[in-house]
Amino acid sequence: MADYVVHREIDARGSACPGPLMELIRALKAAEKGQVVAVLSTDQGSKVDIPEWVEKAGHKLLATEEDGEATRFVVEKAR
Amino acid sequence: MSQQRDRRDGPTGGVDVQIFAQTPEQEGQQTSGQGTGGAAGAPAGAARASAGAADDAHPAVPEVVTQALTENAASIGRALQVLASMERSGSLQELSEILSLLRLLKSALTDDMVIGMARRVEGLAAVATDPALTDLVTRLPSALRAAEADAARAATARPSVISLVRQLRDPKVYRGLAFLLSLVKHLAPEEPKARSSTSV
Amino acid sequence: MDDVVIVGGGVGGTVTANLLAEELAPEIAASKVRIRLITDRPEHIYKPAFLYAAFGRTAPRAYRRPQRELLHPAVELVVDPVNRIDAGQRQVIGESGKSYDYSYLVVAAGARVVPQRTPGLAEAGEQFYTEEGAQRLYKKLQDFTGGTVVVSVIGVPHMCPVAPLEMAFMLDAFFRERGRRDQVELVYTYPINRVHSNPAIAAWAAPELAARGIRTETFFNVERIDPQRKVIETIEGTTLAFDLLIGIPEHEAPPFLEASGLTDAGWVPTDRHTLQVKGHDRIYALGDVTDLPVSKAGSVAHYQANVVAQNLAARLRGRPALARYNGKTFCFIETGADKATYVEFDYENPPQPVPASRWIHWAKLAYNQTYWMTARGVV
Repeated sequence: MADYVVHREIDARGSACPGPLMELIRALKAAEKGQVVAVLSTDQGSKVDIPEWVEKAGHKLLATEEDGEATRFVVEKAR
Repeated sequence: MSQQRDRRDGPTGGVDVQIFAQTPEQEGQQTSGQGTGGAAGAPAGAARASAGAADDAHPAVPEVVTQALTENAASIGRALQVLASMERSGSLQELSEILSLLRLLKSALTDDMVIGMARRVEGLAAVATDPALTDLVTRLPSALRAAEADAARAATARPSVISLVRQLRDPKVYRGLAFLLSLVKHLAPEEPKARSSTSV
Repeated sequence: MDDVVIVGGGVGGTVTANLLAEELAPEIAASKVRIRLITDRPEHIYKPAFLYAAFGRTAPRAYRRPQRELLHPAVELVVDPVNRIDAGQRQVIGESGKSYDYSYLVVAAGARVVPQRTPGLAEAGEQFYTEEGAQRLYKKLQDFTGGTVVVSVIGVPHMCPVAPLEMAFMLDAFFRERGRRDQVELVYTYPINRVHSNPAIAAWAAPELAARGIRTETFFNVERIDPQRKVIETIEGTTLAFDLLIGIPEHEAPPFLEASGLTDAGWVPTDRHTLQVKGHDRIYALGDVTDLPVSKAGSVAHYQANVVAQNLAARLRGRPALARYNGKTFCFIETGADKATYVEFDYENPPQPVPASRWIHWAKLAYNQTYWMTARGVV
């Protein structure tokens, strides 16, 4: 089991690019430092866009999990 | 702020290029414009044409082409000269741009919109070609000219009730007046129906 | 009698009302159907004109018309800003206190900008998404002598998805025409890792921006603006100084929709094909107000109006509603220097921009004038 608690999970399945990334950005903006946000995406572009943005923004990508047709990105607000 | 200034000459352009490499190529034109960025779209047609050339290398084709060239050498020569002069003057470019407007229309319209427009054109055309209307319209110019002439002649005479009544005895005036009065009657809109619900 | 109520006097609401009135003329004449359009102002405004207004290239007379003149005579026009919608009672309640019963409701209330959601933006930023904003920007541009001009896309989605790119291209042309381009640095920023959310448009636009010497910043999500220091701070931790900021604010559906419980994350959840509001069989939504992954553009509202009008007419006649929206979008793109191109795409097919030309620019200018025929449902 992963040693983190997801504070908020966003279901962005079926949302086309850049929906899932924008949802994640919005959620992290609202979150406190140290909180963990997860986003579920079925958009293939997310697999590149989300890790790239998380790195650029200086947050931490804790996990990338396949969940059926979707991918779950677990991100910690690090700043 | 200083951080930003430093980044100004930085590799932001490089980042973009890298991302474009991951974009699925839709057409030759997507990739062709990227190199320098200056040649907006110009290479698109060229890229497509050269891609097509490879597919056309069928053995039967050159023979047909050769035959056509031999049989029509003079015409093709003249046509090519026209084409070349159009190219030099820029008309060819204009022509291709005008043709792209057709593609624009095709892109913007839908079946519903085309049907709607055709229906309206048909509706207007049906009114415009109605025999009753065309008959009236064809009588208008001569009537206008005659009326102007009459009015010019009568300009000095003061109209009086007696002169009006006298004119009514003219069978032509009488028929015209009867026609106009009837037209007024039939132009009247339907009497407004009392609205049942006034909940607003 | 069946009552169709359409909320919104933009392109979507107006075209829906006109198409319905034309199709249902016999039923309306027989008082079996009534069509009412409820809007918050007596004038219809052609919003795409604001981009041109920012450069002083159009006047209010050209982009405003009395709403009544655009509506089929059989459509009843009600000017009464909506206070809320009671979906349970099937009623629209106006600010006036009056209520309007409906059998079917069409929500075409558009989007509004909320600059106040970004700290500092309202004080330090300009925008061209409202009439006042465009007129203010026009004055600022006249007075601008030199420095850094930033066109920053802050809120996504926003109205007219290519307008920020057009603004950047037109600014470039504006300063070149005045011989001041060398005194101006132009910067265009976008929240994700390319210059537009649509990959094909981004691939087309990036070299176009580069060719004009417009610097781009991607993965650029504005957190706040410092009006005193004239600096943008992003959540990525970068900063960007500006002399003139044109910020595309966050957008949202009008507040009465949230108050009526018809929104989710700011927009009205809508079926992508039938355009029915999710969970509400008798309510349709179209145009900027929906949560659909399509452009918030007039053409979209126009295409959707055809679908909604057809389906409503069918249902009012007790027939199955078969029309479906396929995501069709059409946008002109002004590329500056009196040239333009366009894109057309739908749910399945990505756009393929064509080479910009003056002819397409003229087609756009002509369309701006013939828009009123579109609103009337003629084209």
